Amino acid sequence: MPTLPPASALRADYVGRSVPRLEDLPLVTGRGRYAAGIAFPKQIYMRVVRSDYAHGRLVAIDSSAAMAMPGCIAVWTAEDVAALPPIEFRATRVSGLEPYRQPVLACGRVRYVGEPVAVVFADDPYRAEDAADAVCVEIEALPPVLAAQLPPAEFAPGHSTEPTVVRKQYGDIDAAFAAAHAVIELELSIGRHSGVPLETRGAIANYDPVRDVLELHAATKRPHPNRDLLARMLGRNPASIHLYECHIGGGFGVRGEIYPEDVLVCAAALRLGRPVKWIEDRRENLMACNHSREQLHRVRAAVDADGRILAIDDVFFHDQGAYVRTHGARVADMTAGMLPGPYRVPAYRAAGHYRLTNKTPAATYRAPGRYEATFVCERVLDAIAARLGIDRIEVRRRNLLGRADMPHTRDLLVLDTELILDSGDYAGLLDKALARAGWTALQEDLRRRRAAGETVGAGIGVFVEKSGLGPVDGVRVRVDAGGAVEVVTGAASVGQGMETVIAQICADALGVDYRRVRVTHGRTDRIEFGFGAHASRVTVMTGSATRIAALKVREKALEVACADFIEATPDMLDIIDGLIVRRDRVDEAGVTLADIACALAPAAAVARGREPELAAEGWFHSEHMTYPYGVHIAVVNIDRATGGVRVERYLVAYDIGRAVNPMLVEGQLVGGMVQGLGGALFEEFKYDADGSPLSVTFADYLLPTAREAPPVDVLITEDAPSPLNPLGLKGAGEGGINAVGAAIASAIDDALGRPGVVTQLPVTPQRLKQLIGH
Amino acid sequence: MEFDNTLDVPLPPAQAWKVLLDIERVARCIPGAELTEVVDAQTYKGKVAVRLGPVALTLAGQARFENIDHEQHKARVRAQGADPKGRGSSESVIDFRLEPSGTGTRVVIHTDLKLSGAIAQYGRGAGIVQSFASQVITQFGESLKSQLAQAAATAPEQAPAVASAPNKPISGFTLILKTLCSAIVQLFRRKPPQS
Repeated sequence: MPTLPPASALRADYVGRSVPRLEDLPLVTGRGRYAAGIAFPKQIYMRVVRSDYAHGRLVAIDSSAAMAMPGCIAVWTAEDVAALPPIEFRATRVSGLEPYRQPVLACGRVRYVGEPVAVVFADDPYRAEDAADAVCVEIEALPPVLAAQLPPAEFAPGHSTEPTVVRKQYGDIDAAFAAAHAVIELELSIGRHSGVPLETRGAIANYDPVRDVLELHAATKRPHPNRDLLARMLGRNPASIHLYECHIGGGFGVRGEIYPEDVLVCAAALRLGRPVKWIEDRRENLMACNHSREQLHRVRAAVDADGRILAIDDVFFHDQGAYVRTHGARVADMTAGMLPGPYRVPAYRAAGHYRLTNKTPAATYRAPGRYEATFVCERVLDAIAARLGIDRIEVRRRNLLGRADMPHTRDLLVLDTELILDSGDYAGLLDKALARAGWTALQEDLRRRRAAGETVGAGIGVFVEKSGLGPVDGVRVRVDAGGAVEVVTGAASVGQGMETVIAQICADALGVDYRRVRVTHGRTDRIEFGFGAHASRVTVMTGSATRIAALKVREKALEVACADFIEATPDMLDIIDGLIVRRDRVDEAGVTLADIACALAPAAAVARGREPELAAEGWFHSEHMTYPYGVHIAVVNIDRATGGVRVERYLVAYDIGRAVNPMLVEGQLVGGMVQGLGGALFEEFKYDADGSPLSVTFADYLLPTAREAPPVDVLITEDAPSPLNPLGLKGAGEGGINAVGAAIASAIDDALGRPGVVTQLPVTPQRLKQLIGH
Repeated sequence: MEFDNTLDVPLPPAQAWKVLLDIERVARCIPGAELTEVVDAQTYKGKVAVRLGPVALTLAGQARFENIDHEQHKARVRAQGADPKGRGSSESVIDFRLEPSGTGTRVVIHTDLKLSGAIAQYGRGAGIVQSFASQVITQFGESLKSQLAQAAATAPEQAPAVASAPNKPISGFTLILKTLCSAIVQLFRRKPPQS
């Protein structure tokens, strides 16, 4: 038998290469299909009447004038949707949260400005808006609760505004503090901000009485779980509801959760018998789409004389806003679970006071809980350095978990999974990041510039991310009679490039050009199960399932090739660019995957006792998340006269285990970094003393623009592949944003020469002016 | 929020005082305002149409004179209004006094305004509402001036039968432009911050 070249089932023709994105053609040629572009014959339009009061008793709603307006078809208030239950939560259920769920229309009380109190349906969007203006809502104002750290008040009779306290603890906290050389105490806060997609929300529902199928279009993020949730709320079978994804102008965690408006368009399509379309305007978006991040931490750390952490004890107040939305207590849970970051923390205690206020409800936004936790943890590290007179980098080195500690189990549950840091070389990445940034020379340069009168400084943020939330994912891979490959998955695209990444993984496992792979996603009518796109899970979970399914297809193709076409055993064959060849005779004419698919057509296959179709289903299971990690380094220049902060340069160093497409990883990291700058310096949802939102336009809610975006250097490493999946994958989505608040705060401290001066995000010019003034 | 405005009236203080207390006349000069009922000599009911960006509403309510000091030419007006459709409300205390000036009388106005509902939803609300108020007052002053000029041309003690300028709500593009212009002017007028 001739010696064969190595089997190439695991070859990396595409995985690891920055191949162009498959999904870009329609997007860059103006052929994208977004929510507002979806239309059905005879569709009508929904407009939401929202509360202008932060807290109040709903006395009366008079819709008679609205009903008399031209084109107005119906006006609904809570009475009209009494059969619909409040929106349930899908994640991080904590008992006792049920009474705090949001009704689809306010019932008896309003609890935030922007809360839907009525909906108007009309034959034209402008007429719907005019009719909505004519709805008279009488509200008797009640005093609002506007700060989570104030003593809890009453949410509803018998229910306080603190439904739960998230508690996590391990180790002997009291002994650690008793033995401490020094105790650091800080009060730190993160401003209320959120993901603000360019495209606002939208939903189009269409009911087909012929098939008895309700369709919801413009679904994003989690079509399958949302289908199931809608089925329960509407009292229908899941198979009689289909959700369809379209292109999406930004997800970031806020798009694609079930909101009152999604339920209302579905209920209206069923009841009114016409397609119902709803497109949110910007002002609504800024007061009704999920907010996030607002927390106040009172953290203490016990350290020994060398600056080693003995214990961290954190009490924080999580401002949930007016209702508990689909994520339950997830953000508070993740904050408490992830706070110790990449450090060795022998004893830890967190108490997260989860509190309702009269502001827009909050939920997850890119790196939920981690943006907050990393800011707090890294402020603590900087404070230890300052207190003990140790260099900021050195204090981190002394506390980072080492390679030998991996895998490292913390006696904590995060997202209902055991927290096991799967792999990592944190100090190794810190060294690489410092070298890449030229840290030593940078310090020298900054000293020189400060001496010359500039207010410049550098900051650092070291963090652990989490990704690949399990427990399971599954896909179907099928080769058609033309030899083209289709991967059908219940994952979703939020613009991250998942079609390309999944195609790359499939192409390598099967042996085809990645451009021959069509990835079908976000459609409940093509596959019965799916988990969407969230928690940086698609590459890890869906990618791993894709590889399993594609390898099964490969195996089947090789078996049929040997049986019907080529004199060989499967181990002598390879598939190159869709052509099955003998590895020792690659120049000979082979057999195509299309030939195999034809040979497996049902009539031919079943007659020969074969399972028809060149297709397979692949399932991947993982109990634990993967934990990528990173280092951010920021250089800032402060204008003392205006309090403005200009970020001169920024480095994101990130270990992703294995980068399927480094270009896409870089895109995720840079995009995340710029987005994180918003929460660090600009973005904040403010409220006045009555609870009126003061940030409902882009003149008041300041997003970072190209002008504020610094040059971002990206260092992607693959030093610690995950042992939890065969390709070693970890997620890319949230590492760019995670430590921006931490690194910018550290850099501002450094520029001002006042360690610990930043205690609150965002560091707006007004706040910084005040700090400088002292 | 509190803010100050001034207004020049081309009449000596004693005469200007009379004119300014003639509410039916004054109301006709306020852009967007409509006097609906005279309850008594101190109390008036009316409506004001306001449009700020995407928010349009009509505030209906009453204004009541308190502490009228005819000697010192000082008065306080307490006004409150609410949008009948529940979109918002306002409460204000306006103190005004007259001072003699080169051209006649300067009216010095201090306003303490509390807004709630949709019109309160501006982060830079203070700036926008102040610009809005000063636009209203400037336009009021111009209307009043032209009305006074007409009145002077006819009989000195007689108010013209019809308002000279239509009191349309101050709104839309013009206001945005004016507010923007005044915001820009304000910006450059500010003293450089001391650091």
